[in-house]
Amino acid sequence: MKLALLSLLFAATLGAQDLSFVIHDPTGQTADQPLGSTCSFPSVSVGDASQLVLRVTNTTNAPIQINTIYFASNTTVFAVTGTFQNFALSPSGANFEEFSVYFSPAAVGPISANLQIEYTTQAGTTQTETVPVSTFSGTGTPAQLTATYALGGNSSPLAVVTGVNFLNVSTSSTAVATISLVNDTGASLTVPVSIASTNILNPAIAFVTNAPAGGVVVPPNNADSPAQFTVTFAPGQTGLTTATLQIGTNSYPLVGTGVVVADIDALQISYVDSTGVRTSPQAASSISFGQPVEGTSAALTFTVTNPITSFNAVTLSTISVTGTGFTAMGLPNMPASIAPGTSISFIVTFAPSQSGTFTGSLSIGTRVFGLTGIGADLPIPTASLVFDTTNFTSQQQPHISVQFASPSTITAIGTLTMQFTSSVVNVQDDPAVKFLATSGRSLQVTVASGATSATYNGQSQLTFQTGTTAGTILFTLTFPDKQPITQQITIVPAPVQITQMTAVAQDPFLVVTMTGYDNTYSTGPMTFNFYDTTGKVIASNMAVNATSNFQQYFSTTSSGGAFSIQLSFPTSGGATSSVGSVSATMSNSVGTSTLTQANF
Amino acid sequence: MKRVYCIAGLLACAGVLSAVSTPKVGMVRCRDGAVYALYGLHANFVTGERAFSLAQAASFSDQGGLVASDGRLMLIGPDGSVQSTYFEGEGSPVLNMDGGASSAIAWLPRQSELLTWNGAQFTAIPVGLAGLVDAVRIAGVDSAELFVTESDNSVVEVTVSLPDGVVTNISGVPGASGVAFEQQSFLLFHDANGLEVQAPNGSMRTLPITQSDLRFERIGTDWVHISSASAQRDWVLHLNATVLEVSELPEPPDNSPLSKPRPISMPRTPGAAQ
Repeated sequence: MKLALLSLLFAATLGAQDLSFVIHDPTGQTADQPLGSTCSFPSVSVGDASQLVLRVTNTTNAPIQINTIYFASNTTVFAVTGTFQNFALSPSGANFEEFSVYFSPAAVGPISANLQIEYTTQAGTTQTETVPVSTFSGTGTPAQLTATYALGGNSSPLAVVTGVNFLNVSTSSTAVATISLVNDTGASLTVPVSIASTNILNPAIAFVTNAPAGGVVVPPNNADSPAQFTVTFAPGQTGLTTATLQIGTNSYPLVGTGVVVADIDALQISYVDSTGVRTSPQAASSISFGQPVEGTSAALTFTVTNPITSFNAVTLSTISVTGTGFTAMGLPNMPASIAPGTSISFIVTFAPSQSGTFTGSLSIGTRVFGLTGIGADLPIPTASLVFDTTNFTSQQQPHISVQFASPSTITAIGTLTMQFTSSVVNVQDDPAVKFLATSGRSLQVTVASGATSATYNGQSQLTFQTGTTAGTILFTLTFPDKQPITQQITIVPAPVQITQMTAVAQDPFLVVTMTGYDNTYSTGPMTFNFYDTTGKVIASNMAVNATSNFQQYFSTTSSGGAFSIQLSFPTSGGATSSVGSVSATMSNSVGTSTLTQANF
Repeated sequence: MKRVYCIAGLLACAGVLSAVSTPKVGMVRCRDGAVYALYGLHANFVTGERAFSLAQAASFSDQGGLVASDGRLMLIGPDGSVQSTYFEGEGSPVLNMDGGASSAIAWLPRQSELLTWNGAQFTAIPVGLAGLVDAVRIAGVDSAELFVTESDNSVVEVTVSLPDGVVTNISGVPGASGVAFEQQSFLLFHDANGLEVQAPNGSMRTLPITQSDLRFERIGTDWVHISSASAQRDWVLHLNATVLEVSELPEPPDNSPLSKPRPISMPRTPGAAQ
């Protein structure tokens, strides 16, 4: 739509001298100019429009109420918008009323119309007058792009002023207007098409178009085969609703009224998001759940109200939700009857399992609303858990690090946990399995913006203990609003490990102490060889079975499979002095330990 | 304790006595200042009960220990009980106990005194000594050895005669920079390569601990706590004639401090039958 500031033709002043009109430039680039008795619009292509902004002030010393401003003829070509009904103009130009006049030719050639105003003066006695303001004229030129619409079997030119009025449509139904575009030029045109809300308080739009997002391609000279798209009016609420259809540079009003045909149409449906904002959805617009990060969810609380003005209770046989990631919760028992003046509520959640766009639908009886949501990914790169070894055994202090595939774009704090599951029967835990940095199984890791690894207390290599119990350790890395990453390591059952052995002769005993671990908790049988001071065997394969001792120990210890066993071998006749060393093996359910030796 | 088997031959045919217990490493003063019992194995530590809630220094052998807390120096017996207390008024004494009670010795830097245990009480011995004492130990019945860091970061070993406190010898520790400690017959010191472990025969092994602000405190006869305040890291060195292992010390558990410190039993004397 073009805004034109015209060179004006001045003629006689207003017949009634009570009002003064000026042409106003909303951009502020041109000073207001008085409106003469005639005013010309520039030439406008058929189907296009030109606009002038006018201001009217009261020049008398008494208040004036403007009742209406209108064109007396050719009202499909000339139109007035923006006026308030019964607007009061204060005396002496203290305020003004601003309105617009449009010229939107429907045919080629000149055309004119008189702008008139009806107002009421309150000077002395109240008196209503209707006076001409100015005669507006313009010339329609051949259109480059002609738009028509078909609705209900009727086809009409699509005018900037009147647009498309879908009239009354059931809130359970839809009406479709087909827009046809004819290109009168010799070159193909790509015309962007969109629909915008006119209600800033409710972004839901009752109109939807199937026009391609990239625009409608209109071939040259296509009068015989117009390019077409549709505009659908699908009201979700009763009452008048409007929007704006934008075709190229022209805006066309879309008007429709949701009405009650069946009882269910009367239901007032609304939802509240997590911030408390209430929205009345329109069936034409999908209900958006926003962009929860994958692994999290967004929830909307729906309320379905049967207005107290309804005559009948409305019975809903079903309320259902379709679409991956969408779930209804807290539904009433079905069928649900909603008496006039009452309502029901339920929650619909959207929990994307991955990133991407998800769609679904919510059916409340025969009332159907689209659902949409986007699974977003936290803007930190994909993380992985990296170990400094692949061969895990008991009694280790390996390192784990959190590595990112690329530098993180944000600073984030995550949690790294380890969960130990014993594979030894009747053994629930091993307290030695832990992160050294916290002496626990959880620590917070921080990834700085630009970093490719996370740290704890400045360390990227995080040490943990594998303990001395066979089992699995599950590591889980979680960042807020991001899918957890897990990795499991296995500590396999192993033969007894004797880590230290000492031998002391305390006549008449030979005292042997062995320290180590049995990650199966099943040891007990031991075999000893004693040697003299020259290394000659003096007693071989002496079996000692301490199974019951170990079982009692393992049933009460809180130190995992680690143990220290002390054995006192009695001797006689001062034999301890002739014993030089001892070797031993220990057996468990896996096998026999390596031979360990100690000198007395 | 149970008789589980009978051996014959050269050894008398009698029941073998066996006892299984949790392996104890010793007593460690953690970064939170509290002294905890430490159980487990190399690379598999479990922090146990808290024995002292706040200590400025500690040194333990398998037979007992010394703990400095709030200006008091406590001699801890084998059973974990406090055998004696000496009010030394020091903020950060240097302690050592690597054997029985007779090995207990403390360096009180503020008073420039050595404190030794004569079997019945502590005895203070003034010593005319400059420099930062990193470590001290009883070297014999009549002498003590101290490792002292000089102003140029070099380390010297100072021998002091007891009980008169006369410095009888000063010798440099070649290559040492900033800190040195003696564990059994091994010398530990920091140099440009890391933490060096020097055997009596002169052979050395370098441990990958590169921090220079190391502090050594004995956990048990075979175990040494190594800490770096700058790196906020702690290690446990397991070192004796047959073993050289180093692993990391877990942080004290968040919920470990008890409302009251409680005595703990010391690790058993090796060879003590049960």
